Amino acid sequence: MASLNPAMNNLKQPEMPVDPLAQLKSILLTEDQQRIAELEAALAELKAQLSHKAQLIATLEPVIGEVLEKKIGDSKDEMARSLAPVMGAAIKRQIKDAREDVIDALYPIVGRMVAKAVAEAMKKIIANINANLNRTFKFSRWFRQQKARLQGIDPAEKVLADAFPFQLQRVFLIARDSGLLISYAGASQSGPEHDEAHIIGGMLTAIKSFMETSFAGSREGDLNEIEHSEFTIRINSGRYTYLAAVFSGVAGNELDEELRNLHIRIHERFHRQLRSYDGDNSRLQGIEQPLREIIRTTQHIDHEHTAAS
Amino acid sequence: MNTLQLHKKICLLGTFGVGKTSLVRRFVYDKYDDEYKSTIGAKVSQKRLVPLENSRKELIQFNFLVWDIEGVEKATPQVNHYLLGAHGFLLIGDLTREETIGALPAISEFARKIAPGAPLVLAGNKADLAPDGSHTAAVLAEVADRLSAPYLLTSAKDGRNVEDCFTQLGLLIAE
Ligand SMILES: Nc1nc2c(ncn2[C@@H]2O[C@H](COP(=O)(O)OP(=O)(O)O)[C@@H](O)[C@H]2O)c(=O)[nH]1
Ligand SMILES: [Mg+2]
Repeated sequence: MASLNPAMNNLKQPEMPVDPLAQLKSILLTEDQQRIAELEAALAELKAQLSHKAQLIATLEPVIGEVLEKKIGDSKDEMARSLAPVMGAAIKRQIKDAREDVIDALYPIVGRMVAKAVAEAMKKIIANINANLNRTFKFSRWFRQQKARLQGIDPAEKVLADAFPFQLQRVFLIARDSGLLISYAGASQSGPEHDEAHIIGGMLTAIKSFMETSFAGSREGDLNEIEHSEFTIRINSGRYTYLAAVFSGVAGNELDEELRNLHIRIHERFHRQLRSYDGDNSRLQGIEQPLREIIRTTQHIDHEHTAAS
Repeated sequence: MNTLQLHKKICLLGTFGVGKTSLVRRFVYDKYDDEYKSTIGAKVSQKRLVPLENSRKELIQFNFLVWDIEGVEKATPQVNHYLLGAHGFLLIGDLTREETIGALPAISEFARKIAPGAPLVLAGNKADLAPDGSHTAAVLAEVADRLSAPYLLTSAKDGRNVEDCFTQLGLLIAE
């Protein structure tokens, strides 16, 4: 299209001699020959790349990655379906060849994932329960204090007992490293149970150590609770010992606080003996007293039921 | 005279298959199943010894908490943990497989690093399968000498010397 601006006109169409024959010649010969030469060179290079495996891989690598990514993004299921058998076979062979290595490599990862998932779920459940507890606790506190006063029971103790919506069944004081049972108190007073307590102390220590080593590195993985179908074990770790409380029902932070206080009391009185503890329980006379006490205190809720009925 | 009651942690160590679990089963009446051991690699059993007298004429009754530990040949951090606070070690080799006896010095080094001062007793197990004066028994004697530890030839199958291994260990701990 013709321009009205002469300056622009100049720019767009610089003065050049137009020789149709030369143009034709250059199109027909020079440019084509050059193009052919370029194409030949490119073809040779391509051939070389195709025949050279490493070079081929280097060429295709970035593309394949992109294609796969796109394909997976477009049709994830389809990809998975077609890749699964190949991957499955490869992984199976790999596992067969280096079973121990694979297990060793997966172990901590799986452990951490499980620990985290459990910790998350527990946190939610506990938060829920705590919310409920706090509501009911505040609601009935005053009433219970009055009732306790009338019954002649120390109100503070009564409130404490009412704050435990769980049954503390056994408390173990266990030497941290060796797992030896230092002291034990149980809600029921049968003999064989006490003997069994030594094995439970050892097994508990083994399980605790296993979990802590497996989940090392994730803070959520620190073991302070073990759940079983009908009871839970809450653990409070000290310098030389740990306390393990077995209970049924639901225990909130109050139990942790109670255990911590109990542990501190024990430590204050016996720390010298505990530091050099070597399996001689006769040097720790009286250490079972505070354990019995905590069992007794948290049993009050039952006494109330008996008194009421 | 008063009998002193002492609780002690004893660890059974040895390559896979030498007979650790069988020896514990023979030594203690055991009502716990082994299910969780294969999961965590350790199992604790309990056995009270008959009262023993040490050189100071003290009567001591041991309550042994016996830890049957898997995988010591791999020296993992987990096994490391299981040995913490041990008061004595029973190192077990299999008389039908010399390499399991050859593994004992390395295992003892590992054990002594974690629980220094805890005495060792060596056991050549499956004696029921090894002829008297077998080559492997001689190898065991040599290893025991090198580690300055007593050794016994045991069989979890017919029960020979099983009780004695633990008594020997008790006597060493009692000193
Ligand atoms: N003949 C014989 N077989 C034994 C003896 N002790 C263990 N075994 C066998 O050796 C195998 C491994 O024993 P096990 O106790 O599981 O070994 P661990 O891996 O050291 O616990 C089992 O098949 C046992 O039955 C023994 O004293 N004599
Ligand atoms: Mg075993």
